[in-house]
Amino acid sequence: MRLLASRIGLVAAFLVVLAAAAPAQSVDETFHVFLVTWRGETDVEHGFRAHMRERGIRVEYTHRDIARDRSRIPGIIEEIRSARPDLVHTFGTSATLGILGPWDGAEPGAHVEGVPGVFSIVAYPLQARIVESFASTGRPVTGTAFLAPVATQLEAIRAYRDFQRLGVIYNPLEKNSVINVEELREAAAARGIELLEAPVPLNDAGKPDAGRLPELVDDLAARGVEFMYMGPDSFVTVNSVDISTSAASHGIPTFAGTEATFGRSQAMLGLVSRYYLIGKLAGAQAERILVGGKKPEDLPVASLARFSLLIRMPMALKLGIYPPLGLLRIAQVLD
Amino acid sequence: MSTATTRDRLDSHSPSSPGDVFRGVVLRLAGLTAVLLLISQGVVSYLLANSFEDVLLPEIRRKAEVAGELAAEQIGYALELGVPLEALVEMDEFLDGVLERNSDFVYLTVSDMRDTPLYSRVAGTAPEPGEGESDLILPILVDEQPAAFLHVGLHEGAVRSELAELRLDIATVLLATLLVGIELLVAFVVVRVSGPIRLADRVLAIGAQGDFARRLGLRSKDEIGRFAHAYNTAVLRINSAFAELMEEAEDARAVQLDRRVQERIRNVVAGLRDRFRFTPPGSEDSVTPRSPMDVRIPLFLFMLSQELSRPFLPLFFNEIYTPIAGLSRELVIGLPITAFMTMVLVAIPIAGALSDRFPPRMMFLAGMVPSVVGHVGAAFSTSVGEALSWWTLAGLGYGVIFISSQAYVAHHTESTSRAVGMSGFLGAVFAAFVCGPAIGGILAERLGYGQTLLVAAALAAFAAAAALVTIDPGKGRRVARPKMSASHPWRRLLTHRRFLVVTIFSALPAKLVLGGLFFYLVPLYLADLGNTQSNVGRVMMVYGIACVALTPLAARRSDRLDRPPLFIALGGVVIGLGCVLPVFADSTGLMLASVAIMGAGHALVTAPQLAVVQEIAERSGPELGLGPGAIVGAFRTLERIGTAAGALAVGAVVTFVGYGEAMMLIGALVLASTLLYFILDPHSRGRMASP
Repeated sequence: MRLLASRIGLVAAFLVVLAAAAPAQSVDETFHVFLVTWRGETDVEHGFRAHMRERGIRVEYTHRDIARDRSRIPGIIEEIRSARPDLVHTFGTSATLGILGPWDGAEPGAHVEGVPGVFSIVAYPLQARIVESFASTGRPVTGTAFLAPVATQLEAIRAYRDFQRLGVIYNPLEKNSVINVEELREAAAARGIELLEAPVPLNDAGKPDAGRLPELVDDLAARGVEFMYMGPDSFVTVNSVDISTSAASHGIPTFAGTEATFGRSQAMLGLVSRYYLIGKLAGAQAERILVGGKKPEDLPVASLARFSLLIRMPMALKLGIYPPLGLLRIAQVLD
Repeated sequence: MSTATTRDRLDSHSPSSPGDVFRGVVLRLAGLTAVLLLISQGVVSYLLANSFEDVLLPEIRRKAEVAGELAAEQIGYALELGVPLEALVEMDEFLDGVLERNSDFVYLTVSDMRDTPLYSRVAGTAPEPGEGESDLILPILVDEQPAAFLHVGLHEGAVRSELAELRLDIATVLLATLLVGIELLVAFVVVRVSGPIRLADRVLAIGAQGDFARRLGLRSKDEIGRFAHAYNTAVLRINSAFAELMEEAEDARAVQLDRRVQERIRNVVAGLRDRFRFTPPGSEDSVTPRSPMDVRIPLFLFMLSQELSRPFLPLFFNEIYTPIAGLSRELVIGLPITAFMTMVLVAIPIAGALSDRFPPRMMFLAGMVPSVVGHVGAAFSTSVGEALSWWTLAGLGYGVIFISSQAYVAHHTESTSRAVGMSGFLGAVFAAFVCGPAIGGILAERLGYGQTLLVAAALAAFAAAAALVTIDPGKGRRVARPKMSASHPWRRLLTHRRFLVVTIFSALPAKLVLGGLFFYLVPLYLADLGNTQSNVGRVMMVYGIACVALTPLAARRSDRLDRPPLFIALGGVVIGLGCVLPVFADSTGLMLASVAIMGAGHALVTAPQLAVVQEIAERSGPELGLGPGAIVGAFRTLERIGTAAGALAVGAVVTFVGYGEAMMLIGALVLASTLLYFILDPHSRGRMASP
């Protein structure tokens, strides 16, 4: 009951923020929005649709799923060109880059042009060259930021339990992940935390070798890490159950920086932007463009005012690392 | 026919004059009002205070229960999630947080089902355990079943002391409104009722003696105004009748051939002119009430506005303290207070000279400008340096208004009634002195320092508005003022041994205590002892009460015993003992006693000091070439230097020692100088020879 109440409270707080962000307006026009997903519809798309519904904006959706297969991208681009929708929403760095391309040096004809774009779940839009800067995107594209700053993530882990050694397993081929580890390195050093890095070795095909993961976890455990860290890394996300369960078998809790990773893994702790709320935020951005008549290039990349602290209680109990009483008041506890 | 004789007659004070009757009436009216106000306000306050108890106490207890339940729920939540009772994480931090948010919690203990304590925290600022403490036991529920207990130590004493504080506030407001009410009532009655009637009585008495050259200058629309109109009409008709009679007599005389008849007519007319005083109809001299009381309401309001800041001024300066090169914090805080008093000191002779040239009302209003501006400026100051300049300006205004009010009283009283007029003037000052700090303290606690300074500025502006209405805009009568500037005789005065002894060993230490301890150290010390701002104001009010209650008594005693030096010495000892009281302990109770004793001591020394100075003036004035006014003026100036220097001197002392020690040191100084005074004053051991 209390849990529910606190969750509702948290969500309500976000809704207030979102509602305040845009003026209530309803128009008779029906807009056409293309939703491009990377691996099927997620809570982001649900949130997007919910926002439009709540604001009374009539939208006709066309959903196209890339399904992690980059070869599908040109076809989708072709379709968008001929349909000329009012807006394209893209999920993830790969889909966004594939459909909308980088802000500078885009090859002519390779990407969608002349249609406003809104992106979500792009960990590092700046480094991925999707936007010129957060304040001014430099192109008719805007979006939402979803990662909590690395420093805030470390503070959240500390609030749960003080620690000295943090282990991170990441895919050295993923740009997002590499940038994330670089930032992590800096923030950890500033706090006197020792960061033990374990890039996943590549196999003969030059791909990260999932088979080596247990070995990496064992090694980090032997070196005395107290917390395992999982950032915005697709490879890690896919293998997050293995990483978190084998860490747990050594009595080590795992932290997740994104909801996708936290959700599919056995991580004990997470500091994330809820996808649903990110979707609503993207919806608010879309509303400003469609209804408010704003140009996407004039809209800064938006981020949520607060992040959600998630605790997976069964894992905490299993590890015997109980959450502090003070944290229970603000966290969302998953039974 | 001379104006002088009529003037004398105007001033003559026959035993049956209504003045005495009215004093009785005013006193009775004030007494009755006081009783009625006291009863009505007392009943309301009593009911209010009790309803606080009835309504608030259970509410506060309920609030404590809710806060306790909330904590128990949070612990229960953790248990519900599966955290073992004995492995709860960061319980100390959690319990401390709850204790911090609930000042009436003494301790929190979590115990298991067998009531074995597992986690326990005691409030950091825990009140003395034991008295008024109760243990609230709340079950910690898991799935609706008790799994542990939370013990909440409730300190109802804390709640009660809050209520007691509230009651004291109510009582203070009651007392202050009582004083304000009576003050305004008395002033109103004097200005609107007894003053005009007294005037009518005098003019009628002159009329009864046959002087028909005066009319009553009362224009009010009430009964007194109508009465005055009727009297003025009667006088006019008498004068008209006399003028006609004169014409007829002249006509009659002119037609008489008999010289003896002519002579008789002339004699009769001359006899009439001898026995009565007539004037051509319409040219009667209008006598207006010149009441020094007119200034009393604006002066009281102004003084009240100035006293509001009394209990927090040094605390305010401490709050906005910023370093000033080379000076200790304590000195810097004292700086504005000394600057204010110094400006008063500077403004007084200047304003005194100006008040001969400009009407008092103009001066009064002119003084209001720097005072209001200074208060508003200080309210918005963010550093002591900034506040210093504003407060200096406020001091200038205070000095000008003080002197212009005094000048008004002097201009509007005859020499015989000046003492009564001055006592009215002092009455306003004292009433404000008693109410001001208490009201100011309550305001400061509720509104904050800056806001209270703004309230003071608004009150001062209101006093200006009152002055516009009540004070006579004219110049009044010019009064010869003692010349203070002649430096030569001054120097001779400074070689007069007895004058020096009473000034240096009695007046200066006494004023050092006023300016340094009362204006500067007492508020700081009381706040340091953990008193609320209201409490500081209340304690300071006690000084005023002691002073006001004892001053007339001490003055009468000292007159009767005819031994002012003895009283000066006694008063000095009392002040000194008051100062050294904190030697026993740093406590608010002792400070209260100390402040009351200091106030009583001041009441004891003030009148006898003046008596000694006046005696010096009478005896040595001619040989020094100085009038009594000049000598008293010089004494007052030297006294004010003591007040002004007080804050800085004590600030210097507390730079090195604590507040309590500083008080003791000053007390020792007062005792030592009192002893020196007693030894050195040649008249201290014998009765003062009657001159």
